[in-house]
Amino acid sequence: MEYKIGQKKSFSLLFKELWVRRELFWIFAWRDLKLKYRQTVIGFAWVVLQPLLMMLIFTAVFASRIDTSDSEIPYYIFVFTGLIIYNAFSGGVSNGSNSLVLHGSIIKKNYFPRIILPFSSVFISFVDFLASLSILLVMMIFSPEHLHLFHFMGYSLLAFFLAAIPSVGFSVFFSGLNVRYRDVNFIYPFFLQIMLFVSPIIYPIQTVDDPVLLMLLKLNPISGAIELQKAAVQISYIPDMEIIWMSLGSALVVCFLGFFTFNKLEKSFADVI
Amino acid sequence: MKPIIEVQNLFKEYKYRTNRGNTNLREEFHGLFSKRKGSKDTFFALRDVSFDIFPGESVGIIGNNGAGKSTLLKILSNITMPTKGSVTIRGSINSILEVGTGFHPELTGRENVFFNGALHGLSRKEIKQNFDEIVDFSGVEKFLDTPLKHYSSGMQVRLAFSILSHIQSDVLITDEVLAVGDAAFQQKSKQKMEEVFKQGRTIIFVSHNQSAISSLTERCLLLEGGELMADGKTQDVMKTRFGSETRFTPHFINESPIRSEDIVRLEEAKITDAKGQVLHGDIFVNQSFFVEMTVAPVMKFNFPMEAVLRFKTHESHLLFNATKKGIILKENGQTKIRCEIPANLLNQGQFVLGLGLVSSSPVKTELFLHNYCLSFSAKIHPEDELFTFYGEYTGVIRPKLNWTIE
Repeated sequence: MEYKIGQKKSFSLLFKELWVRRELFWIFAWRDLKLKYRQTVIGFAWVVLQPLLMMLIFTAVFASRIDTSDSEIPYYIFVFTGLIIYNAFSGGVSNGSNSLVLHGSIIKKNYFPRIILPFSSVFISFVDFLASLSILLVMMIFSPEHLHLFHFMGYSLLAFFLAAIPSVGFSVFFSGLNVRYRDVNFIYPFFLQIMLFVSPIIYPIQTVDDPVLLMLLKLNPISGAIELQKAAVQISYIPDMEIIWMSLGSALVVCFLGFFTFNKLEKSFADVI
Repeated sequence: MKPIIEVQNLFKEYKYRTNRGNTNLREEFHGLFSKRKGSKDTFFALRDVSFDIFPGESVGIIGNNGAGKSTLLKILSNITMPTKGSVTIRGSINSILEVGTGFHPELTGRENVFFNGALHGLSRKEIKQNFDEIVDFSGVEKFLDTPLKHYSSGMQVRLAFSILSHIQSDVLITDEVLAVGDAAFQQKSKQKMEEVFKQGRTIIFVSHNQSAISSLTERCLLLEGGELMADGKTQDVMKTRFGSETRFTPHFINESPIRSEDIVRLEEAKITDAKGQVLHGDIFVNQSFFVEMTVAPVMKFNFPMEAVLRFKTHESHLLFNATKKGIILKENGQTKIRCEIPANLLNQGQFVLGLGLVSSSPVKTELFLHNYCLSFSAKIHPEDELFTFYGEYTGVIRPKLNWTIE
């Protein structure tokens, strides 16, 4: 095999390298997962505690104010379903955005496909997602008439993939940019906060009348995943296909932009990190 | 036969960075609109370097600090990109620029072995196959499941080195990996390195250790100020560098750019006489001399520091360390730190000085360490005692001791 150093990297090479070094991807994910919980007392419990607490707050504040009479499930489950998708997404994006800067010392001393780092951070947050999903399953046991296991697992799996796409996209985008401009550290938390309120998490999308907000909701790359997750807990709920396609579309655009900027910036990572 | 590495007209340009920290958007916007596009704010770490390396060759790279050796290695290992020129590589390549890259204190020795191995391209299967051998070589069996933070630094280094010797690739690039561990382990690792060099692989090796370069490599590249000054048989290149007109560096001026991680920077270092004049010629062992380092803060750092002076022989054997604690730098401008080396301490020979500045509070920080900063040659003064009963004085030091006869 012959290759040149310093040549422009094609998109396909970016993914080919990731595939060739997939073992390193797993070991990065495994290492970060271990490090995350090594010195915590209750370890994994934190993962589920966070959305549970947020659920409690939102239920206390909004349950009586927001009309969810259309849905089959109580408000707290409604919020929780949205929150676990949002948490997987935001966890992935915030870990991913810092992943390159955090591993700066390794980047300076060793070559490996840098794209592994944001990818493995996203992977970790989706391990957390599985933990929260199991809590959702437990909640559903208390309203067994809505729980259909195949239905639940099928839709959850779809939701999972739909949320992973924008999560990877934003992580790759922010992580590359963060190496150059530490401003990103201030931008992405703000961005994630906005996402929480411009998503059908706290309120059902059906109650939105304002056309601008409705359009934003549909274009939101995680709306589709949230809708699918809501369909997972309600047998008769049929998600609006328009929302799913539109949100998938914008997720793919984000991914493309992310990989494009990452590929452009990758050459200079070791010099400026 | 086609060369396995082909380097053509390689240039690497770095920008000087005047302020600490990373660029932010504000500066970038400022740069967009201001006309002052600083072409003078850049410098070339490598200038028009070309060479070919053929399969099976072992090549040493030598040169002073800041000659561009590390930059060259980083480009060959694909870590950083050349500004101009091309590098073609025909085969798999792996580099060890640091012992124990990615070692994490919270992970156990076992976990770190797997991670570090994977980082250097070893598959899980390969690591498993060689695991016993790695552990055996490092001698840390008992602590495999203990977090690395409880290891002594010697144990960490031994474990890291043991992984490295199992790396498989057509080309291996390494940087000063011999100088690790205690004397016994150094011996062991030297043997291991010799084994690796004899496997017929292509090896590129950067070292300040002349005897290691001479014994391990056949061919040598000499870099100076980013340019390739010599390329040929190791013996010949060594002669150009250290031969007839021996080059010593009694005066070091730091020309490398300020890096983002710099807190305090060594600006200048010199070997002087009592009046502060740089001693360019030989130093007589019966006269005292001074080592002076000039440092300046890059950012505010008000904690007491400790200056470190490492005396080495030209073969890189550590002779002794000297330190001075409790140094507080001037907040603005340069601080000069001087150390007197007493008369009648060294024997004749060639010596290398490493200079460092460290701080133990608030956390242990190495502010800088220039391992091969200064060098000089010591001679016995013609009027001094030249010979003993057995001939010339041998040994590295030659202290004058007090004798009593009763």
